[in-house]
Amino acid sequence: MLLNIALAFVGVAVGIIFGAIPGMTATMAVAVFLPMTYALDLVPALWLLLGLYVGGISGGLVPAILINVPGTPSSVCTGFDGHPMARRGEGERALKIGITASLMGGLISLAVLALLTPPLARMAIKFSAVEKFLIILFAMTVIAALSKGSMTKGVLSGFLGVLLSLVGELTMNNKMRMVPAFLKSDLRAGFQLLPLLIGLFAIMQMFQEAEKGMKANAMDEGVDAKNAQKFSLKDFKGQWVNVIRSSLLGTFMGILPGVGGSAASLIAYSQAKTWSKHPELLGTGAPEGLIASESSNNGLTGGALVPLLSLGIPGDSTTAVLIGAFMLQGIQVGPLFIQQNGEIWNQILIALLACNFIMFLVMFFPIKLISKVVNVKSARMYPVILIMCIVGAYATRSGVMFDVWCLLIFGILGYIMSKIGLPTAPFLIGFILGKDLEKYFLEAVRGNNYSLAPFFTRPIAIVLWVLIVAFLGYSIWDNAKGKRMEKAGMKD
Amino acid sequence: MKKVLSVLLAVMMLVGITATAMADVYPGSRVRIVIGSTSVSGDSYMVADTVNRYLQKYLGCESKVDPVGANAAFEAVKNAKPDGLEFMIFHDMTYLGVLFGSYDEEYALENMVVGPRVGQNPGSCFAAKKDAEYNDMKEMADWLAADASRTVRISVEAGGVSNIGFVVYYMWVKEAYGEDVANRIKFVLGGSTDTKLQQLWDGNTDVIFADYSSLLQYTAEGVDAQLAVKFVGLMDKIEGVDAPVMGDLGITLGGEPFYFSKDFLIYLPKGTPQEVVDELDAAVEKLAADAEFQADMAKLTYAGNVLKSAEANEFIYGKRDALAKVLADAPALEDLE
Repeated sequence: MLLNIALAFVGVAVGIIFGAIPGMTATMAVAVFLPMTYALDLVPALWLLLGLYVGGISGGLVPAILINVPGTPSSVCTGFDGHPMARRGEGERALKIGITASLMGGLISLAVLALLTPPLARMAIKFSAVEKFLIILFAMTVIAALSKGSMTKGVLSGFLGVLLSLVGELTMNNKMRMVPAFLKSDLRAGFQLLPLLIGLFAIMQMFQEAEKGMKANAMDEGVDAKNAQKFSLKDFKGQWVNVIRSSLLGTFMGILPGVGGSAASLIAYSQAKTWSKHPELLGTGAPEGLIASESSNNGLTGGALVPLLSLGIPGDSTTAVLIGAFMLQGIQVGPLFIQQNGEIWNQILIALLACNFIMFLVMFFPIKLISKVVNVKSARMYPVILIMCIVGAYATRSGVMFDVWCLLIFGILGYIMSKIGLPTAPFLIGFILGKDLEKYFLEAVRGNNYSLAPFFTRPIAIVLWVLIVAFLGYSIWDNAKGKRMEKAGMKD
Repeated sequence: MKKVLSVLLAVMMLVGITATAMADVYPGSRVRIVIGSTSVSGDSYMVADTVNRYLQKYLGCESKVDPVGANAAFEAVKNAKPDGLEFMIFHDMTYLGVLFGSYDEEYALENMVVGPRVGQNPGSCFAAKKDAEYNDMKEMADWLAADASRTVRISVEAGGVSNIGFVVYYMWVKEAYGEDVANRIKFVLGGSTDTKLQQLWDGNTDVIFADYSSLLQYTAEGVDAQLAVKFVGLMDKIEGVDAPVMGDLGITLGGEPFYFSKDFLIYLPKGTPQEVVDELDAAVEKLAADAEFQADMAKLTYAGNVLKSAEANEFIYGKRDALAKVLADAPALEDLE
């Protein structure tokens, strides 16, 4: 047991480092350590790998909050509110809120995994390509929520993101789309998410700071960190519904194979905004948004294990790598896994519980030191971030220089977009979700003899349409209301 | 005296240089092994990882398997220094990608050095839902022939081993049952095994292509009816496995029973010296005799059937050319949707 706990500690700590370095992910951490697990028995190997998984998912919040660069795609929404908090001197508070929300998300999803795995797995397979397409579409409605005041520009930016995600080989016929002949080899798999993500956030930010002239540090001018609000559990007062809703949304997205963690945090964030008493504060440094994002992306961890252990289908890219650990030990994961491997199943639950608490301990207490990053002079910090970004982009596909060029190009593109007033967040969301949107649409129409009828006749699909239309209607109404109030304010 | 010393020194240097040049490349070196898949749970990774663990021992090197995907792996073989320190272990998709036109001729076998074969996976197979009205691919053709309104949708990937299995079956049905029956075999674009399983459970396909070991649990007794599947055609025989095999069912390719295993070979950059290949050959010979390696491969339902590079060359070129002849008359997958 001691060995298992020690391995979990190592896993969580290394996972956090992977998650915190922009460009490196939990999936990479698990893949790198996978061959080493051959020397271990399956149970200690799982403690190590689950530690890497939980740590990797959690570590992404650190750079998202402190330097506005999401460490992993699923922490994109964390920066929306976390970074403004850090800029006003509340970095430590934001990190502690994020870590606590992560722990809650992890524990809620673990409870779901332990208690409801078989019925939820049966439910998951009722979600066909039709429903998955509509869920992705629903996740895209967050673009509307994020584009308040400039909805046309937000939607345009989102469409551009979708368009860019479709560059590359169409697997249906292995033909290239929108790829110049001289880039055929580099762009066969399309643009990679991580270089684009880091370019749009980190590199663009550096260009902007360089233009303005480097300030002493990343905090807003005139902020005195000593007067900043401190973390207390009261930050969660009135947030329990948000925590539970977001954690369950994350868990649910994890249960649905192929939907992904980014969609989970996007939907949780947009729902937090919809149900908030002060939606106008989300995006300006409200703990509510931070809690939604972090509890949902950690909610994914337990959720993604549900289909893996009860159907043999991984819920996300990291659990797809975990299958390798079972296979290396000669164990098949499939519908009979829990039935035939009761002891391993129990160990997975215990390990996941332990890893969540270890993550909390490893991250919560040293956070005071980590949060000091915002006090480091920008002129010293940015070169380090730049090097980390380049290493991260280069590592995306195990050493492809093209990805480093993409990082820089997307940094320039992001800078140009900011200059012409096109928001980058909808562009990124369009890019993240675009490929899956197309994939499930094509799969749905091809599987139904090119008929669109199932999109409007299947019961779950109808519910999803209602949600999409209601949410879009609300966003348009809210946008118009905001504009009216702005006009009225100007008149006054 | 000075002259003698100079000559002696020159001779010693020459001997030193020659000895260095002739010394083994691998002991103490760091080696990168790329594979043509990004998955770490598929057969490409499992074979490469198992082989890697034993090759390290026999070559005396430190090596690492990088699951970079087909395109990046082909690029690595094209651009790496021909010093043997970076090579690819991959299966038949190496040449099938070019045959199907998915990859350019620059990635053809002729532009690589074919090294030894390190293993085989005989487990490629087709599977259907357990309650399907046919039990094997011969019965499936009979079932189609019995009623002109019936169709069978088969989920495969374009440009890979599954494409071969699909096309061979289509052409055999066309020859044995006629074009009308064959044209009711429809292509559905698949993806990873889990994507294909979901297509099957969703009712978006009737038959899927996958690896035997990845589907084994779904064929067991006690599996929920909605999830249960059955094997309808293995592409080759697997020792100790009782399931229909395409070749045994009478399915033929070019008049011969069709059996197809995935062959995993080492592919090196063009211009790699023969000495390097010889070193790999020597290590692979030791692999063949290593009972632990054979047991590890068998545990994964793979075979540790190795071939030295000369035989592997002849074998893989022969296999490619035979398939090329058949594929010359084969329809494109998108025409069979």
